[in-house]
Amino acid sequence: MVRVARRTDRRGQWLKGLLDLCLLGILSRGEAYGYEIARHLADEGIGEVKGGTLYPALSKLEDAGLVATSWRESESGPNRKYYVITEDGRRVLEEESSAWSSMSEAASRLMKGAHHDA
Amino acid sequence: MTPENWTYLSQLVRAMRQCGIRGERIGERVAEIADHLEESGADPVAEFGRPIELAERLAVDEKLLPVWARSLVVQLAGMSLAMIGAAVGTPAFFSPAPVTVELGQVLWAVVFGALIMVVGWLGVRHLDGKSWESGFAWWWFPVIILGVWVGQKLQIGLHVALFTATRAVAATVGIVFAAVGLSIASMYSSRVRFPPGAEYLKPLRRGPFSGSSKRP
Repeated sequence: MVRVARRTDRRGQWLKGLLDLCLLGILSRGEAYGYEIARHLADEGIGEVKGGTLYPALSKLEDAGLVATSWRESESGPNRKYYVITEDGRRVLEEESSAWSSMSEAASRLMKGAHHDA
Repeated sequence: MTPENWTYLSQLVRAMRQCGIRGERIGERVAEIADHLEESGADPVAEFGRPIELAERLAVDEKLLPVWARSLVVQLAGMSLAMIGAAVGTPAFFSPAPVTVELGQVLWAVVFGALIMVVGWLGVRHLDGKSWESGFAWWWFPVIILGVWVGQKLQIGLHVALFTATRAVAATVGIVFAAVGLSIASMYSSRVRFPPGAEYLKPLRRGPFSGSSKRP
C-alpha cells in the first residue's frame, strides 16, 4: 500500500512539474479545446488529468502569453474556448524540452546504473 | 444540463464572486466548465473539486486576496458604514432637538460594530469543525444601536462636534448609511462549507441581498 501510494505521489509530482510543457506540446500540433486536450493527455499515456488541474494550468499559460484563446460556437451547448500556442509558447517549449531531454537522459543513466549494481 | 451540473455551476458562480473574480471571467470559466461536463459526463465534484475549492484555486491564479481576507475587509467596511448610520440616525429618533453628531459617537459605533462582527465571526467558526459560516446576523443591528446609546449615556468618546442636522436629515442619512452598509456587509454572508457531497442536495441559501438563483 505504501509503495503504491508513493508511486502515485511521485507521478503526481512529475505531472505537476511537466503539465504545462505537455500542454504546450499538445497545442503545438494544433489548436484544441479543454476536454479535447484532456483526452489527448490520456491517449498519450500521461494519465487522467482532471478538469480541476487542467483548466488552472491552461489559465496560467494564457496569462503568461504562451497560449492564446478564441471562442467559437459549438453544435450543442455553450460556446467553446479554443487554445492555440503562441510564438512565445513555441520558443519556451523548444527550450524547456531540450533541457528536459538532457535531464531525463542523465536520470535514466543513473537509474540504470543503480539497477545493474543491485 | 443535469440538475447536479446546474447546482454545481450555480455554487461555483457564487463562490467565484466571493473570491472576487471579475464577472466576465466568471462567465468564461463557467461556460468552459459546463462544456467540459457536458462532453465528459463526469461528476463535477470528482472532476473539478468542490466549488469553493475550485474558485479559490482560480482566484490564486488571478492573484486576488484570499477569500477570508476579502470577506473580512468588505464586512468591516460595510459594518463601519452601517454603524456610522446608526450613530447619526439613532439620536434623531430619541431626541426632539436637532441632532449634533460627535466624533466620539462615530468612533464608538465603528469600534463596537467591528467587535460584534469579529466576535460573531470567530464564534460561529468554532461551533463545528466540519462546517462553518461567516457573515452578518440581523440581531447585531439592534444590539449595536443599544451600544451606541449606552456609549452616549456614559459620555464615552471625543466630544468634538462633527455636524448638526435636523432630525429628518439625520434620520434619512442614518437610514441610507445603514442600508448601504448592511448591503455591503452581507455580500460575503452565507459562505458555507459542508462535508463533501451534502451541499448538492441542499437548496441554495437565499438572503435578502444575495440575489436570486433561477433554475432552468
